[in-house]
Amino acid sequence: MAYETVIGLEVHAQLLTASKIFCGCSTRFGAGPNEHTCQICLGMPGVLPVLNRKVVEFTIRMGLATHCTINAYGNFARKNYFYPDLPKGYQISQYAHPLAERGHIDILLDGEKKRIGITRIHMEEDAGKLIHDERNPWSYVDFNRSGVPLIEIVSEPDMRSPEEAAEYLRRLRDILVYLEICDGNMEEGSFRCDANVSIRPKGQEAFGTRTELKNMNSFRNVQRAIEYEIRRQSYILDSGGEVVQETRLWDDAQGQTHSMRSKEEAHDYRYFPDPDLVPILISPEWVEEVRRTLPELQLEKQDRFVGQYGIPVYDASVLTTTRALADFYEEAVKLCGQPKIVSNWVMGDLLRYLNEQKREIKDSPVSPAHVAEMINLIENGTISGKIAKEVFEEMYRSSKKPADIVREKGLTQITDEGAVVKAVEEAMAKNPAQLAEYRAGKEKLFAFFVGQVMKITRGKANPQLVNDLLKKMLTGS
Amino acid sequence: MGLQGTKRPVSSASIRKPRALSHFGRYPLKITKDQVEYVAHLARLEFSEQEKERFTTQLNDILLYVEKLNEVDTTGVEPETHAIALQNAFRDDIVRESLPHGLSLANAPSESGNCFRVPKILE
Ligand SMILES: [Zn+2]
Repeated sequence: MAYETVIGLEVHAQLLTASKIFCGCSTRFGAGPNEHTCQICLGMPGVLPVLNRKVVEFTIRMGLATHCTINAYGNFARKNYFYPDLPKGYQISQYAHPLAERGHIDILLDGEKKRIGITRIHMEEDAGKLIHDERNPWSYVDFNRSGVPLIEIVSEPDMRSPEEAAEYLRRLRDILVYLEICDGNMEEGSFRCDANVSIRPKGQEAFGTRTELKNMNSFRNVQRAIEYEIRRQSYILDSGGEVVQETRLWDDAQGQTHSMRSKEEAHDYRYFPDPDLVPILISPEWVEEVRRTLPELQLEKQDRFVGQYGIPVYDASVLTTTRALADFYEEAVKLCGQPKIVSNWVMGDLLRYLNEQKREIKDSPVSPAHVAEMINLIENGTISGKIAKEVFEEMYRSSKKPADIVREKGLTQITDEGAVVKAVEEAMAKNPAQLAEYRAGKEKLFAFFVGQVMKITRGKANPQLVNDLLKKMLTGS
Repeated sequence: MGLQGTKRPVSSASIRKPRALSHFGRYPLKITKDQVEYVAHLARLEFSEQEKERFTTQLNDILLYVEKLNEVDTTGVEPETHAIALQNAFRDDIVRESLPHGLSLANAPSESGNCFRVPKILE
Protein backbone atom coordinates (compact mmCIF):
# COMPACT_ATOMS: atom_id res chain seq x y z
CA MET A 1 0.00 0.00 0.00
CA ALA A 2 1.12 3.56 -0.56
CA TYR A 3 1.73 5.46 2.65
CA GLU A 4 2.32 9.05 3.59
CA THR A 5 4.91 9.82 6.25
CA VAL A 6 4.24 12.28 9.05
CA ILE A 7 7.22 13.67 10.96
CA GLY A 8 7.50 16.06 13.88
CA LEU A 9 10.81 16.99 15.46
CA GLU A 10 11.85 17.94 18.98
CA VAL A 11 15.14 19.76 19.07
CA HIS A 12 17.22 20.51 22.14
CA ALA A 13 19.68 23.35 21.69
CA GLN A 14 22.30 24.21 24.27
CA LEU A 15 22.47 27.95 24.83
CA LEU A 16 25.79 29.78 24.68
CA THR A 17 25.68 31.40 28.10
CA ALA A 18 28.77 31.68 30.28
CA SER A 19 27.04 30.36 33.40
CA LYS A 20 24.35 27.75 34.00
CA ILE A 21 20.62 28.45 33.97
CA PHE A 22 20.03 28.57 37.75
CA CYS A 23 23.52 28.93 39.29
CA GLY A 24 26.85 30.60 38.59
CA CYS A 25 28.73 27.45 37.60
CA SER A 26 30.54 27.64 34.29
CA THR A 27 29.06 25.97 31.20
CA ARG A 28 32.51 25.58 29.63
CA PHE A 29 33.11 22.19 28.06
CA GLY A 30 36.13 20.08 28.94
CA ALA A 31 36.60 20.55 32.70
CA GLY A 32 37.39 17.57 34.92
CA PRO A 33 34.38 15.56 36.19
CA ASN A 34 32.16 17.49 38.62
CA GLU A 35 34.45 20.52 38.68
CA HIS A 36 31.66 22.80 37.51
CA THR A 37 29.14 21.90 40.17
CA CYS A 38 27.66 23.53 43.26
CA GLN A 39 24.87 22.97 45.77
CA ILE A 40 22.27 24.18 43.25
CA CYS A 41 23.16 22.09 40.20
CA LEU A 42 23.84 19.08 42.43
CA GLY A 43 20.32 19.37 43.79
CA MET A 44 21.20 19.73 47.48
CA PRO A 45 18.20 20.37 49.75
CA GLY A 46 17.39 23.93 50.75
CA VAL A 47 19.07 25.78 47.89
CA LEU A 48 17.38 28.43 45.78
CA PRO A 49 17.77 28.48 41.99
CA VAL A 50 17.78 31.94 40.37
CA LEU A 51 17.11 32.30 36.65
CA ASN A 52 19.87 33.54 34.35
CA ARG A 53 18.42 36.57 32.51
CA LYS A 54 20.40 35.80 29.37
CA VAL A 55 18.61 32.46 28.99
CA VAL A 56 15.32 34.35 28.74
CA GLU A 57 16.79 36.84 26.26
CA PHE A 58 18.23 34.08 24.06
CA THR A 59 14.91 32.24 24.08
CA ILE A 60 13.02 35.40 23.11
CA ARG A 61 15.55 35.85 20.30
CA MET A 62 14.84 32.37 18.94
CA GLY A 63 11.10 32.90 19.39
CA LEU A 64 11.19 36.10 17.36
CA ALA A 65 13.44 34.64 14.66
CA THR A 66 10.92 31.80 14.17
CA HIS A 67 7.89 34.12 14.14
CA CYS A 68 6.51 32.87 17.47
CA THR A 69 4.23 34.68 19.86
CA ILE A 70 6.22 35.59 22.96
CA ASN A 71 3.99 34.86 25.93
CA ALA A 72 3.62 37.66 28.47
CA TYR A 73 3.47 35.16 31.32
CA GLY A 74 5.82 32.23 31.81
CA ASN A 75 6.78 29.94 34.63
CA PHE A 76 8.82 26.84 35.39
CA ALA A 77 7.52 23.42 36.27
CA ARG A 78 9.08 20.33 37.78
CA LYS A 79 9.15 17.27 35.58
CA ASN A 80 9.45 14.37 37.98
CA TYR A 81 11.28 11.16 37.17
CA PHE A 82 14.15 9.10 38.50
CA TYR A 83 17.36 8.67 36.62
CA PRO A 84 20.93 8.77 37.96
CA ASP A 85 21.87 11.77 35.80
CA LEU A 86 19.09 13.84 37.40
CA PRO A 87 20.26 14.85 40.89
CA LYS A 88 17.03 16.37 42.21
CA GLY A 89 14.66 13.66 41.00
CA TYR A 90 13.05 16.29 38.77
CA GLN A 91 14.08 18.42 35.84
CA ILE A 92 13.18 22.10 35.90
CA SER A 93 11.39 22.77 32.63
CA GLN A 94 8.45 24.75 31.28
CA TYR A 95 5.12 23.05 30.84
CA ALA A 96 1.84 24.91 30.82
CA HIS A 97 3.40 28.30 30.10
CA PRO A 98 6.27 28.10 27.61
CA LEU A 99 8.06 31.26 26.62
CA ALA A 100 7.21 31.16 22.93
CA GLU A 101 4.47 29.46 20.88
CA ARG A 102 2.91 29.16 17.43
CA GLY A 103 5.71 30.13 15.05
CA HIS A 104 7.12 28.77 11.82
CA ILE A 105 10.15 28.57 9.60
CA ASP A 106 10.29 28.20 5.84
CA ILE A 107 12.37 25.50 4.22
CA LEU A 108 13.45 25.28 0.61
CA LEU A 109 13.53 21.87 -1.06
CA ASP A 110 14.02 21.34 -4.80
CA GLY A 111 13.26 25.00 -5.33
CA GLU A 112 9.96 24.77 -3.49
CA LYS A 113 9.21 26.67 -0.34
CA LYS A 114 7.40 24.92 2.47
CA ARG A 115 6.31 26.29 5.83
CA ILE A 116 6.92 24.16 8.94
CA GLY A 117 5.03 25.15 12.08
CA ILE A 118 6.74 25.58 15.44
CA THR A 119 4.45 24.46 18.26
CA ARG A 120 6.45 25.88 21.15
CA ILE A 121 9.87 26.86 22.44
CA HIS A 122 10.61 26.45 26.12
CA MET A 123 13.55 26.74 28.50
CA GLU A 124 14.87 23.91 30.63
CA GLU A 125 17.96 22.60 32.35
CA ASP A 126 20.16 19.82 31.00
CA ALA A 127 20.90 16.66 33.00
CA GLY A 128 24.31 15.27 33.95
CA LYS A 129 26.32 12.76 31.97
CA LEU A 130 26.49 9.03 32.63
CA ILE A 131 29.58 7.05 31.78
CA HIS A 132 29.00 3.30 31.81
CA ASP A 133 31.62 0.89 33.09
CA GLU A 134 32.39 -1.72 30.43
CA ARG A 135 33.27 -4.50 32.85
CA ASN A 136 31.58 -3.71 36.16
CA PRO A 137 27.94 -3.12 37.06
CA TRP A 138 28.60 0.58 37.63
CA SER A 139 27.95 3.87 35.99
CA TYR A 140 29.78 7.10 36.77
CA VAL A 141 28.00 10.42 36.95
CA ASP A 142 29.51 13.76 35.97
CA PHE A 143 27.20 16.68 36.81
CA ASN A 144 29.12 19.39 34.90
CA ARG A 145 26.33 19.46 32.33
CA SER A 146 23.60 19.46 34.98
CA GLY A 147 21.91 22.86 34.84
CA VAL A 148 23.35 23.92 31.49
CA PRO A 149 20.59 25.92 29.75
CA LEU A 150 18.66 24.32 26.90
CA ILE A 151 15.79 25.36 24.75
CA GLU A 152 13.45 22.74 23.40
CA ILE A 153 11.95 23.58 20.03
CA VAL A 154 8.92 21.46 19.17
CA SER A 155 7.70 21.41 15.58
CA GLU A 156 4.23 20.65 14.27
CA PRO A 157 3.91 17.25 12.52
CA ASP A 158 4.30 19.11 9.22
CA MET A 159 7.12 17.21 7.54
CA ARG A 160 6.32 14.52 4.99
CA SER A 161 9.74 13.07 4.10
CA PRO A 162 13.14 12.41 5.67
CA GLU A 163 14.58 15.06 3.32
CA GLU A 164 12.16 17.66 4.63
CA ALA A 165 13.07 16.75 8.20
CA ALA A 166 16.79 17.09 7.48
CA GLU A 167 16.28 20.41 5.72
CA TYR A 168 14.15 21.74 8.59
CA LEU A 169 16.92 20.75 11.00
CA ARG A 170 19.57 22.50 8.92
CA ARG A 171 17.52 25.67 8.73
CA LEU A 172 16.86 25.56 12.46
CA ARG A 173 20.52 25.12 13.18
CA ASP A 174 21.50 27.93 10.80
CA ILE A 175 19.11 30.25 12.63
CA LEU A 176 20.47 29.31 16.08
CA VAL A 177 24.04 29.80 14.91
CA TYR A 178 23.22 33.10 13.18
CA LEU A 179 21.58 34.33 16.37
CA GLU A 180 24.77 33.34 18.21
CA ILE A 181 22.80 31.54 20.89
CA CYS A 182 23.97 27.96 20.14
CA ASP A 183 27.05 26.53 18.44
CA GLY A 184 24.89 23.94 16.64
CA ASN A 185 27.36 21.10 17.08
CA MET A 186 25.42 17.87 16.69
CA GLU A 187 28.36 15.52 17.24
CA GLU A 188 29.16 17.14 20.61
CA GLY A 189 25.50 17.17 21.58
CA SER A 190 24.87 20.90 21.78
CA PHE A 191 22.18 20.41 19.11
CA ARG A 192 20.11 17.25 19.59
CA CYS A 193 17.08 15.93 17.81
CA ASP A 194 14.31 13.43 18.55
CA ALA A 195 11.89 12.51 15.77
CA ASN A 196 8.26 11.46 16.01
CA VAL A 197 7.48 9.34 12.98
CA SER A 198 4.25 7.74 11.79
CA ILE A 199 2.80 6.65 8.48
CA ARG A 200 -0.78 6.57 7.20
CA PRO A 201 -2.39 5.26 4.02
CA LYS A 202 -2.32 7.97 1.33
CA GLY A 203 -5.46 10.07 1.54
CA GLN A 204 -6.26 9.15 5.14
CA GLU A 205 -6.71 12.10 7.45
CA ALA A 206 -6.09 10.49 10.85
CA PHE A 207 -2.48 10.07 11.96
CA GLY A 208 -1.06 6.59 12.36
CA THR A 209 0.58 5.39 15.59
CA ARG A 210 3.91 7.12 16.01
CA THR A 211 7.25 6.07 17.38
CA GLU A 212 9.80 8.40 18.90
CA LEU A 213 13.34 8.06 17.55
CA LYS A 214 16.34 9.04 19.66
CA ASN A 215 20.12 8.87 19.58
CA MET A 216 20.81 10.37 16.16
CA ASN A 217 23.90 12.54 16.31
CA SER A 218 24.19 13.88 12.78
CA PHE A 219 21.91 15.24 10.07
CA ARG A 220 22.65 12.19 7.99
CA ASN A 221 21.67 9.84 10.82
CA VAL A 222 18.39 11.67 11.40
CA GLN A 223 17.58 11.09 7.76
CA ARG A 224 18.73 7.47 7.81
CA ALA A 225 16.84 6.68 11.02
CA ILE A 226 13.60 8.11 9.65
CA GLU A 227 14.07 6.25 6.36
CA TYR A 228 14.58 3.01 8.25
CA GLU A 229 11.58 3.67 10.48
CA ILE A 230 9.31 4.31 7.48
CA ARG A 231 10.38 0.98 5.96
CA ARG A 232 9.86 -0.81 9.28
CA GLN A 233 6.39 0.64 9.85
CA SER A 234 5.33 0.01 6.23
CA TYR A 235 6.40 -3.61 6.57
CA ILE A 236 4.39 -4.02 9.79
CA LEU A 237 1.24 -2.49 8.29
CA ASP A 238 1.59 -4.37 5.00
CA SER A 239 1.77 -7.66 6.86
CA GLY A 240 -1.36 -6.86 8.85
CA GLY A 241 0.35 -5.85 12.09
CA GLU A 242 0.07 -2.80 14.29
CA VAL A 243 2.75 -0.23 15.06
CA VAL A 244 3.43 0.01 18.80
CA GLN A 245 3.81 3.48 20.26
CA GLU A 246 7.25 3.44 21.82
CA THR A 247 10.65 5.05 21.98
CA ARG A 248 13.25 3.59 19.65
CA LEU A 249 17.00 4.11 19.64
CA TRP A 250 18.95 4.56 16.42
CA ASP A 251 21.90 2.20 16.11
CA ASP A 252 24.36 3.82 13.74
CA ALA A 253 26.57 0.77 13.29
CA GLN A 254 23.68 -1.53 12.40
CA GLY A 255 21.66 1.11 10.57
CA GLN A 256 18.52 0.14 12.51
CA THR A 257 16.24 1.41 15.25
CA HIS A 258 15.73 -0.70 18.38
CA SER A 259 12.93 -0.63 20.90
CA MET A 260 13.95 0.93 24.22
CA ARG A 261 12.37 -1.71 26.40
CA SER A 262 13.33 -0.25 29.76
CA LYS A 263 11.33 2.86 28.97
CA GLU A 264 8.10 0.98 28.37
CA GLU A 265 7.23 1.56 31.97
CA ALA A 266 4.62 4.20 32.65
CA HIS A 267 5.86 7.75 32.34
CA ASP A 268 3.96 10.08 34.53
CA TYR A 269 5.99 13.20 35.02
CA ARG A 270 3.52 14.84 37.43
CA TYR A 271 4.43 18.32 36.27
CA PHE A 272 3.66 21.06 38.76
CA PRO A 273 4.81 24.68 39.06
CA ASP A 274 8.21 24.98 40.70
CA PRO A 275 7.68 26.91 43.94
CA ASP A 276 11.37 27.93 44.02
CA LEU A 277 11.10 30.00 40.86
CA VAL A 278 8.89 33.04 40.52
CA PRO A 279 6.83 33.77 37.41
CA ILE A 280 8.41 35.49 34.43
CA LEU A 281 6.55 38.50 33.07
CA ILE A 282 7.74 39.64 29.68
CA SER A 283 6.77 43.17 28.76
CA PRO A 284 6.25 44.28 25.15
CA GLU A 285 9.18 46.69 25.74
CA TRP A 286 11.49 43.81 26.56
CA VAL A 287 10.41 41.94 23.44
CA GLU A 288 11.03 45.05 21.33
CA GLU A 289 14.43 45.55 22.91
CA VAL A 290 15.42 42.01 21.94
CA ARG A 291 13.91 42.45 18.47
CA ARG A 292 16.18 45.45 17.88
CA THR A 293 19.27 43.33 18.59
CA LEU A 294 18.23 40.56 16.18
CA PRO A 295 20.84 40.09 13.47
CA GLU A 296 19.93 39.77 9.81
CA LEU A 297 19.18 36.09 9.20
CA GLN A 298 20.61 33.96 6.40
CA LEU A 299 17.81 34.25 3.85
CA GLU A 300 17.47 38.00 4.38
CA LYS A 301 21.20 38.40 3.99
CA GLN A 302 21.22 36.26 0.85
CA ASP A 303 18.51 38.43 -0.73
CA ARG A 304 20.37 41.60 0.23
CA PHE A 305 23.67 40.32 -1.25
CA VAL A 306 21.95 39.61 -4.56
CA GLY A 307 20.38 43.07 -4.64
CA GLN A 308 23.20 45.12 -3.20
CA TYR A 309 26.22 43.42 -4.79
CA GLY A 310 24.67 42.07 -7.97
CA ILE A 311 26.07 38.59 -7.40
CA PRO A 312 24.24 35.38 -8.45
CA VAL A 313 21.85 33.72 -5.95
CA TYR A 314 24.17 30.73 -5.80
CA ASP A 315 27.14 32.91 -4.75
CA ALA A 316 24.98 34.68 -2.20
CA SER A 317 23.75 31.41 -0.70
CA VAL A 318 27.30 30.07 -0.33
CA LEU A 319 28.66 33.34 1.08
CA THR A 320 25.90 33.54 3.70
CA THR A 321 26.32 29.97 4.95
CA THR A 322 27.70 31.41 8.17
CA ARG A 323 27.67 34.90 9.59
CA ALA A 324 31.47 34.89 9.83
CA LEU A 325 31.88 34.10 6.13
CA ALA A 326 29.31 36.74 5.15
CA ASP A 327 31.10 39.31 7.32
CA PHE A 328 34.44 38.35 5.76
CA TYR A 329 33.02 38.84 2.29
CA GLU A 330 31.41 42.18 3.05
CA GLU A 331 34.57 43.50 4.69
CA ALA A 332 36.65 42.60 1.64
CA VAL A 333 34.11 44.17 -0.73
CA LYS A 334 34.10 47.33 1.36
CA LEU A 335 37.88 47.58 1.00
CA CYS A 336 38.17 47.01 -2.73
CA GLY A 337 34.71 47.63 -4.20
CA GLN A 338 34.70 44.53 -6.41
CA PRO A 339 31.79 42.31 -5.25
CA LYS A 340 31.93 39.68 -8.00
CA ILE A 341 35.72 39.38 -8.00
CA VAL A 342 35.81 39.05 -4.21
CA SER A 343 33.10 36.40 -4.44
CA ASN A 344 35.17 34.43 -6.97
CA TRP A 345 38.27 34.47 -4.81
CA VAL A 346 36.44 33.69 -1.55
CA MET A 347 34.29 30.90 -3.00
CA GLY A 348 37.07 29.55 -5.14
CA ASP A 349 40.52 29.69 -3.65
CA LEU A 350 39.81 30.61 -0.04
CA LEU A 351 37.03 28.09 0.65
CA ARG A 352 38.95 25.40 -1.20
CA TYR A 353 42.04 25.87 0.96
CA LEU A 354 39.95 26.08 4.14
CA ASN A 355 37.92 22.98 3.30
CA GLU A 356 41.06 21.02 2.46
CA GLN A 357 42.32 21.66 5.98
CA LYS A 358 38.86 21.53 7.60
CA ARG A 359 39.44 25.04 8.92
CA GLU A 360 36.75 27.55 9.67
CA ILE A 361 36.63 31.04 8.28
CA LYS A 362 37.39 32.52 11.70
CA ASP A 363 40.73 30.68 11.61
CA SER A 364 41.56 31.81 8.09
CA PRO A 365 45.22 32.85 7.69
CA VAL A 366 44.06 35.24 4.98
CA SER A 367 42.17 38.35 6.11
CA PRO A 368 39.57 40.36 4.20
CA ALA A 369 42.21 43.12 3.92
CA HIS A 370 44.60 40.66 2.26
CA VAL A 371 42.01 39.64 -0.31
CA ALA A 372 41.07 43.27 -1.03
CA GLU A 373 44.69 44.34 -1.37
CA MET A 374 45.44 41.50 -3.74
CA ILE A 375 42.44 42.38 -5.91
CA ASN A 376 43.65 45.98 -5.98
CA LEU A 377 47.05 44.75 -7.16
CA ILE A 378 45.34 42.97 -10.06
CA GLU A 379 43.17 45.97 -10.84
CA ASN A 380 46.05 48.47 -10.97
CA GLY A 381 48.08 46.13 -13.15
CA THR A 382 50.79 45.28 -10.63
CA ILE A 383 50.14 41.56 -11.00
CA SER A 384 48.23 39.48 -13.50
CA GLY A 385 45.29 37.27 -12.54
CA LYS A 386 47.47 34.25 -13.11
CA ILE A 387 50.22 35.46 -10.80
CA ALA A 388 47.52 36.31 -8.26
CA LYS A 389 46.81 32.58 -7.87
CA GLU A 390 50.40 32.12 -6.79
CA VAL A 391 50.24 35.15 -4.50
CA PHE A 392 47.04 33.82 -2.92
CA GLU A 393 48.56 30.45 -2.20
CA GLU A 394 51.58 32.06 -0.56
CA MET A 395 49.35 34.45 1.34
CA TYR A 396 47.34 31.51 2.71
CA ARG A 397 50.53 29.68 3.65
CA SER A 398 52.37 32.54 5.34
CA SER A 399 49.71 35.16 6.17
CA LYS A 400 52.02 37.74 4.56
CA LYS A 401 50.64 40.85 2.90
CA PRO A 402 50.20 40.40 -0.86
CA ALA A 403 52.33 43.49 -1.70
CA ASP A 404 55.19 42.04 0.35
CA ILE A 405 54.89 38.68 -1.40
CA VAL A 406 54.93 40.37 -4.81
CA ARG A 407 58.04 42.38 -3.86
CA GLU A 408 59.91 39.49 -2.21
CA LYS A 409 59.26 37.08 -5.04
CA GLY A 410 59.67 39.68 -7.79
CA LEU A 411 56.22 38.96 -9.17
CA THR A 412 55.45 42.48 -10.36
CA GLN A 413 53.85 42.40 -13.76
CA ILE A 414 55.98 43.50 -16.67
CA THR A 415 54.15 46.39 -18.26
CA ASP A 416 57.22 47.93 -19.83
CA GLU A 417 56.72 47.60 -23.59
CA GLY A 418 60.44 47.30 -24.33
CA ALA A 419 60.83 44.33 -22.01
CA VAL A 420 57.85 42.50 -23.52
CA VAL A 421 59.06 43.26 -27.10
CA LYS A 422 62.32 41.59 -26.15
CA ALA A 423 60.52 38.53 -24.87
CA VAL A 424 58.42 38.32 -28.04
CA GLU A 425 61.56 38.59 -30.19
CA GLU A 426 63.15 35.79 -28.17
CA ALA A 427 60.10 33.59 -28.58
CA MET A 428 60.07 34.16 -32.32
CA ALA A 429 63.82 33.52 -32.65
CA LYS A 430 63.59 30.26 -30.71
CA ASN A 431 60.69 28.88 -32.74
CA PRO A 432 61.31 29.64 -36.41
CA ALA A 433 59.32 26.61 -37.64
CA GLN A 434 56.18 27.58 -35.73
CA LEU A 435 56.61 31.17 -36.87
CA ALA A 436 56.67 30.10 -40.47
CA GLU A 437 53.60 27.92 -40.03
CA TYR A 438 51.77 30.78 -38.35
CA ARG A 439 52.63 33.11 -41.14
CA ALA A 440 51.42 30.47 -43.60
CA GLY A 441 47.98 30.70 -41.99
CA LYS A 442 47.99 28.34 -38.99
CA GLU A 443 46.47 30.90 -36.64
CA LYS A 444 45.95 28.37 -33.86
CA LEU A 445 49.65 28.81 -33.08
CA PHE A 446 48.93 32.24 -31.60
CA ALA A 447 48.23 30.62 -28.25
CA PHE A 448 51.51 28.75 -28.48
CA PHE A 449 53.40 32.03 -28.75
CA VAL A 450 51.45 33.52 -25.84
CA GLY A 451 52.59 30.54 -23.79
CA GLN A 452 56.20 30.98 -24.91
CA VAL A 453 56.27 34.66 -23.97
CA MET A 454 54.73 33.90 -20.59
CA LYS A 455 57.30 31.19 -20.02
CA ILE A 456 60.15 33.59 -20.83
CA THR A 457 58.75 36.26 -18.50
CA ARG A 458 57.85 33.66 -15.84
CA GLY A 459 54.20 34.59 -16.17
CA LYS A 460 54.75 38.19 -15.27
CA ALA A 461 54.12 39.87 -18.62
CA ASN A 462 50.91 41.88 -18.85
CA PRO A 463 48.62 39.57 -20.85
CA GLN A 464 46.97 42.39 -22.81
CA LEU A 465 50.33 43.81 -23.80
CA VAL A 466 51.55 40.36 -24.85
CA ASN A 467 48.48 39.93 -27.04
CA ASP A 468 48.82 43.30 -28.69
CA LEU A 469 52.54 42.94 -29.39
CA LEU A 470 52.25 39.36 -30.65
CA LYS A 471 49.50 40.32 -33.07
CA LYS A 472 51.71 43.02 -34.47
CA MET A 473 55.06 41.26 -34.46
CA LEU A 474 54.05 37.72 -35.54
CA THR A 475 52.62 38.93 -38.83
CA GLY A 476 55.88 40.78 -39.37
CA SER A 477 54.10 44.05 -40.03
CA MET B 1 -2.59 23.39 40.34
CA GLY B 2 -3.01 19.69 41.00
CA LEU B 3 -1.25 16.68 39.63
CA GLN B 4 -1.36 16.74 35.89
CA GLY B 5 -1.58 14.03 33.31
CA THR B 6 1.39 12.55 31.55
CA LYS B 7 2.74 14.22 28.47
CA ARG B 8 2.79 11.00 26.53
CA PRO B 9 1.16 8.00 28.19
CA VAL B 10 2.64 4.65 27.28
CA SER B 11 -0.05 2.00 27.09
CA SER B 12 2.19 -0.99 27.64
CA ALA B 13 2.95 0.10 31.19
CA SER B 14 3.39 -2.48 33.87
CA ILE B 15 1.47 -0.33 36.31
CA ARG B 16 -1.32 1.68 34.82
CA LYS B 17 -2.25 5.13 35.86
CA PRO B 18 -5.61 5.17 37.64
CA ARG B 19 -8.11 7.29 35.78
CA ALA B 20 -9.37 9.34 38.67
CA LEU B 21 -5.95 10.88 39.28
CA SER B 22 -6.25 13.36 36.46
CA HIS B 23 -9.28 14.90 38.18
CA PHE B 24 -7.33 15.44 41.37
CA GLY B 25 -8.35 18.58 43.19
CA ARG B 26 -11.29 19.41 41.02
CA TYR B 27 -13.94 16.98 42.14
CA PRO B 28 -14.92 15.51 45.50
CA LEU B 29 -12.10 13.16 46.29
CA LYS B 30 -11.84 9.56 47.03
CA ILE B 31 -8.34 8.21 47.04
CA THR B 32 -8.28 4.53 46.22
CA LYS B 33 -5.69 1.93 47.14
CA ASP B 34 -4.86 1.70 43.42
CA GLN B 35 -3.79 5.30 43.47
CA VAL B 36 -1.64 4.81 46.55
CA GLU B 37 0.08 1.89 44.84
CA TYR B 38 0.57 3.92 41.68
CA VAL B 39 2.08 6.92 43.45
CA ALA B 40 4.24 4.65 45.58
CA HIS B 41 5.54 2.99 42.44
CA LEU B 42 6.41 6.33 40.86
CA ALA B 43 8.30 7.25 44.02
CA ARG B 44 9.99 3.83 44.04
CA LEU B 45 8.54 3.04 47.47
CA GLU B 46 7.37 -0.37 48.61
CA PHE B 47 4.65 -0.75 51.19
CA SER B 48 2.97 -3.66 52.95
CA GLU B 49 -0.76 -4.22 52.42
CA GLN B 50 -1.35 -2.83 55.88
CA GLU B 51 0.58 0.33 55.13
CA LYS B 52 -1.26 0.83 51.86
CA GLU B 53 -4.60 0.69 53.70
CA ARG B 54 -3.36 3.13 56.31
CA PHE B 55 -1.99 5.61 53.76
CA THR B 56 -5.19 5.43 51.74
CA THR B 57 -7.16 6.50 54.80
CA GLN B 58 -4.64 9.15 55.80
CA LEU B 59 -4.40 10.65 52.33
CA ASN B 60 -8.17 10.82 52.13
CA ASP B 61 -8.29 12.61 55.47
CA ILE B 62 -5.63 15.11 54.39
CA LEU B 63 -7.26 15.84 51.06
CA LEU B 64 -10.70 16.17 52.61
CA TYR B 65 -9.25 18.67 55.04
CA VAL B 66 -7.74 20.67 52.18
CA GLU B 67 -11.13 20.49 50.49
CA LYS B 68 -12.27 23.06 53.02
CA LEU B 69 -10.48 25.65 50.85
CA ASN B 70 -13.17 25.12 48.24
CA GLU B 71 -15.64 26.69 50.63
CA VAL B 72 -13.83 30.03 50.34
CA ASP B 73 -15.23 32.42 47.77
CA THR B 74 -12.38 33.07 45.34
CA THR B 75 -14.35 35.00 42.75
CA GLY B 76 -12.04 37.50 41.08
CA VAL B 77 -8.88 36.08 42.66
CA GLU B 78 -6.20 35.01 40.16
CA PRO B 79 -4.75 31.54 40.75
CA GLU B 80 -1.26 31.84 42.21
CA THR B 81 1.58 29.40 42.55
CA HIS B 82 3.44 31.52 45.08
CA ALA B 83 2.67 32.92 48.49
CA ILE B 84 4.59 36.11 47.75
CA ALA B 85 3.88 38.48 44.90
CA LEU B 86 7.29 38.50 43.25
CA GLN B 87 8.19 38.23 39.58
CA ASN B 88 11.26 38.33 37.40
CA ALA B 89 13.94 37.43 39.92
CA PHE B 90 16.96 37.19 37.65
CA ARG B 91 20.71 36.90 37.96
CA ASP B 92 23.22 38.21 35.45
CA ASP B 93 25.12 35.72 33.32
CA ILE B 94 28.27 35.80 35.41
CA VAL B 95 30.37 32.76 36.27
CA ARG B 96 30.91 32.24 39.98
CA GLU B 97 33.24 29.81 41.57
CA SER B 98 31.92 26.27 41.84
CA LEU B 99 32.39 24.11 44.92
CA PRO B 100 36.05 23.56 45.81
CA HIS B 101 37.54 20.42 44.36
CA GLY B 102 36.37 17.32 46.15
CA LEU B 103 33.61 19.01 48.12
CA SER B 104 31.00 18.21 45.46
CA LEU B 105 31.57 14.54 46.15
CA ALA B 106 31.80 14.87 49.95
CA ASN B 107 28.33 13.37 50.44
CA ALA B 108 28.60 10.76 47.72
CA PRO B 109 27.89 7.25 49.06
CA SER B 110 30.28 5.93 46.46
CA GLU B 111 32.69 7.62 44.09
CA SER B 112 35.36 6.89 41.56
CA GLY B 113 37.60 9.14 39.46
CA ASN B 114 35.84 12.30 40.74
CA CYS B 115 32.52 10.87 39.57
CA PHE B 116 29.55 9.71 41.58
CA ARG B 117 29.37 5.94 41.27
CA VAL B 118 25.91 4.43 40.83
CA PRO B 119 24.51 1.02 39.91
CA LYS B 120 24.52 0.67 36.16
CA ILE B 121 21.27 1.48 34.39
CA LEU B 122 21.28 0.91 30.68
CA GLU B 123 18.77 2.42 28.33
ZN1 LIG C 1 26.14 25.03 39.99
